[in-house]
Parts: sequence; structure tokens; C-alpha cells
Amino acid sequence: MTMLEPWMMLVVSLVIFGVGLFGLLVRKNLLVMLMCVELMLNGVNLSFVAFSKIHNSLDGHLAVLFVMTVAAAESAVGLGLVIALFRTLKTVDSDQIQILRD
Amino acid sequence: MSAEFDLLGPWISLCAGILLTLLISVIRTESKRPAQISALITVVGTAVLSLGKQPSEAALVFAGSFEISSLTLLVLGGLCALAAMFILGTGHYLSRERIHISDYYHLLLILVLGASVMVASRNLILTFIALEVMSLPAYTLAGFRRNDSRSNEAALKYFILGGAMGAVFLLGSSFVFGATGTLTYSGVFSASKSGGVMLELGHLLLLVSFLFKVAAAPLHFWKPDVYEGAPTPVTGIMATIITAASFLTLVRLIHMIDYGAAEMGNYLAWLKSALRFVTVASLIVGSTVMITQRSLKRLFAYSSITHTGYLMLGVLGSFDSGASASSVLIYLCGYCVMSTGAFVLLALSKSPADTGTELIDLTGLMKRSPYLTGLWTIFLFSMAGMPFTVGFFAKYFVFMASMNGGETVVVVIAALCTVVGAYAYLRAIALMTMREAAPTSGEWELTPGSQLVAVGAAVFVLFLGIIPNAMLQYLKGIPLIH
Repeated sequence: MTMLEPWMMLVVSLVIFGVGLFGLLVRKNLLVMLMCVELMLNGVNLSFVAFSKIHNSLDGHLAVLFVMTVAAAESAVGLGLVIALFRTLKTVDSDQIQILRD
Repeated sequence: MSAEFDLLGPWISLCAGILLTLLISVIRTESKRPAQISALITVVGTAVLSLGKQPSEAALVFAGSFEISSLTLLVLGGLCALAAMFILGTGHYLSRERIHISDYYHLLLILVLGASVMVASRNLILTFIALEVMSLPAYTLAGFRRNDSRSNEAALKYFILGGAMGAVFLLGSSFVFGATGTLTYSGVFSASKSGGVMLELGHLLLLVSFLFKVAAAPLHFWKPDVYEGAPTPVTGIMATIITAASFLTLVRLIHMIDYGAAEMGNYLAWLKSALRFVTVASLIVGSTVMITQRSLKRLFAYSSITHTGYLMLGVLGSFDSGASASSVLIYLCGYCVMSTGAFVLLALSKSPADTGTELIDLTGLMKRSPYLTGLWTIFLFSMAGMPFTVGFFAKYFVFMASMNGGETVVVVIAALCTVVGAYAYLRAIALMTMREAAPTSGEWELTPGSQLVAVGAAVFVLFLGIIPNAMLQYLKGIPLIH
């Protein structure tokens, strides 16, 4: 049984960020896209913790607390916007939301 | 400690005003007027407080993460003044569009707070928080016409892309933190001497997220849609307050690493050519697509992409020396005032919101309202960079800065783009003066508040276009980076 090294956490965090980014690009459901943005933020959180461990500093942990707070506020606003959109367009499929274009 | 609070006075008064406005809008839900007056008093008071102070040297408070200097106080005062112009000049828009939500005003104040703190921030986490404090009200305000699907779509597009770019900014901060072990700008600056791939990658991600915010091509695709869908005053706020604050933050992030560092030489050379590409792309995309637009809001969206390109010229000019890019500050000052004037005029259009304001609404305006035509002409001339307007001097200084930085080819391209862009502005003026009104041309309605703001902005544009010296001396004395 080997120890969990900080660089392993870093790899996991980048994978989580990548999954979020990939999902944001390919998924069409707005709620899933919101979740993907949250996933990206959480991936970054993990990398902050990993770097904190590497540098033996608390700054990264502190950053995570702030990011979590902001992410909560952001998802509240995002869900509000999705609900407002659903009321007018009756859909959360991003392919069908294309009124604004050149 | 009390000295810190004394220095922070203007920000504290803005926060107090936000709470007061929030309280008023909760108590007096049926009327927007009390909240509007409270917001107006707050921004005017804060602008007076912050512009009245001129500290001789920068002070860092909160463990070195917040900078109080002549620049940050100027930015706070300037953004508050712009907010005051929007509050005074576009109050009628909300009534006409039947937006009876008094929360509009405290959201606007929170946006100003976030924008000003973002510029003053000297710590990446504070920058991120301020960025979100600025952006979250902006997403909400963009969707303020709740029953209009276009407004909803604009808000959501802005939100998804902005949220993802916020995450990119954080990933960049995390890499910078990983490479240097610190999150303060000064710590990163001193640690950047040793270089490293991770620091370079992190720095690049930080810049990408802010290039997105200022909509530099090829990260500009969101801007026309969001501009078109958002309520007109909010579009104006995005074009001025958010663009100005984001651009100043971008400049500070660019200069976050030490340009004398030999270890970073390759990266810096590469970064400079990348920024050169972004500049040229913004100029060309903005000015060529602008002339094909029929919607006035989309036209101004592409126009602001061009303006981002001109601002980038100033950044390129001062890239190597790391010297204070005063041309950027001068350009931002002129750009914000002329855009505010233009958007206050645009909010006077009585076209139904679901079709938007089109170029055709301008036709024959000379016959219908010579006064309004005159105001439009001043702002459009200034945007085109005609002499005797502030737009001319703004362009002159970024061109000069870029020439001095040895970017001759880019300046030539910029000059050509100015000619192409001028066609779009002059065509709008020609429609107003030389054509008869079409049957489908929309009406325009002047209100006292908007008249006051538009005339004030026009006087500012002309005054600085003819006698710019005092303002230029003042702005040149303000260092952009420390």
C-alpha cells in the first residue's frame, strides 16, 4: 500500500476539471451544463488542496473555502436564470435556445 | 488599523449605500423611485469621496492584498460617476419596459463594488471574488426582462460562459500558486524570476479568462448575443463599467510577472506575439463585421470589440518596458464617456424590445429631432476617432504608444481598421441626416434625466477633444502598475 502523494491528487483534480470542461462542450441540457461548471470549480478546489500540501501552506485551503462559497452563490443565480428561461421557452435544451444570432 | 479604515472610506461608503438601497428596496417594493434616489446619492457621494483623495503613494492593506492608490481611487470614482450617469439617464427605460423590480439599483451598486475591488486587488483569490461579485449581478441584470426569452437567453449564455471562464481563472490561480507558493501579486512577481512551465501555464490561463471578459477576438463570440438580448442600460453598463474594470485588471495581470526575468524570456516573447495576434484579430473582426450589422446593439457590440483591439495596442506598446500604460487609461476614460452617452441615447428608442433597435430607426432623425441627431453625431464621431472629439486623442495616444513599442505593422493595420470602422459610424450619421424616415422607423423619446446625462457626456467629449491638456497631464501622472 503506497501513500497518497500530492501529485496523484493533482492528476485527479485535472481529470475532474477536464470532465467538467468536456461535459460543458458536449452536453446540451442546461442543468447538466451548470453541473459541469460546478465540477470544474471542484476540480480546481482539489488542486488547491494538493498544492497546499506540496507547499505546506494554508493559503490553498483558504482559497477552497472562498471558492466553495462563491460556487454556491453562482449555482443559485444560475438555477434562477434557468427557471426564468424555462418559463418563457419551456425547454432547457441549449440547441433550441438560439433566438440571438447574426 | 484606524488608518486603514480611513483609507478605505470610499469603499465603506459604497458598501453602506448598497445596504441602505437594499433595505429601501425591500421596504418600498411598490415604487422604484426611493431606491433610485438612494443609489444615486450613494454613487455620487462615493465618487466625490474617492476623487477628493489623492494619496501620494500606494498603500497596501489587508495583508498586502488590497491596494489603495491614486489609480484605484480614480477607478472607484470613475466607475461611480458612470453608474450615476446610467442611474440618472436610463431610469425611464425601466418604467417603459415595465420592469418594476427595485432590486435593479442595488444589483448595479454591487456590480460597481466588485469592479472597483477587482482593480484594487493584489491577491488572486480577492481578484476572483471581486470578479464574481461583479459578474453575478451582471448575469442577473442581463436577464432582467424576465418575460422576454431573448433577455433570458442572453443572461444564460453570459452565465454559462462566464462561469466556465471563472473556473479557468481559478485553475490559472491554482497553477500560479503551485509554482510560486503564494497568491499575492507581489509574491508572484518576485518568485517569477525562476520561471517554470507551471507558472507560465497558470499566467496564460489567467490572461485567457480576462481576454474573454473584455471580449478580445477570438474570445468575442458571446458579446453580440449578450449585448443584443440584455436590456439596453445593462448593455451600456457591460460596455463601460465591466469592460473598463476587466481591462485594467488584465493589464495588471499581464504585468504580474517580472519582465526582466531571463528564465521567462521565451514565454514572454511568445506571449507578446499571442497578444499581437489578439490585437489584430479584434481590430479586423470588430471593424469588418460591424459594417454588416443592422441591429444597433450588435453594431455597438462589434464596435466595442474594436475598442478592445485599440486598448490592446496601448498594452502592446508598453509590454517590454513594463512602464505605466497611460495611453490605456486615457483611452478608457474617453471610451467610457462616449459609450455611456451613446447607450443613454440608445435607451431612448421606443422600438418594441422583441425586435430591438435597428439602424432603420435612425433614418430621418434629423427631421424629427435635430437635437437628438446632434448628440448622436457627437458620440458617433468620437467613436470613429474624428478630430475635435476625445476619441481622436484616445486613438492618437494608443497609436503613439504602439509605435514607440516598435509595433509599426500593427499600427498600420489599426489605422486601416479605423477607416473601415468609420464607414459604419458615418453611414449611421448619413441615415439620420440624408434619408427620409421609413414607415417602420421607430420613435425616440427624450426625457429630462437622459437629456442632462447625454448633454453632459457630449460636452465632456467635445471639451476634451479641443482642450485635452489638463486631463492628459492628470491621467499621465497615474501609474497603472506598481
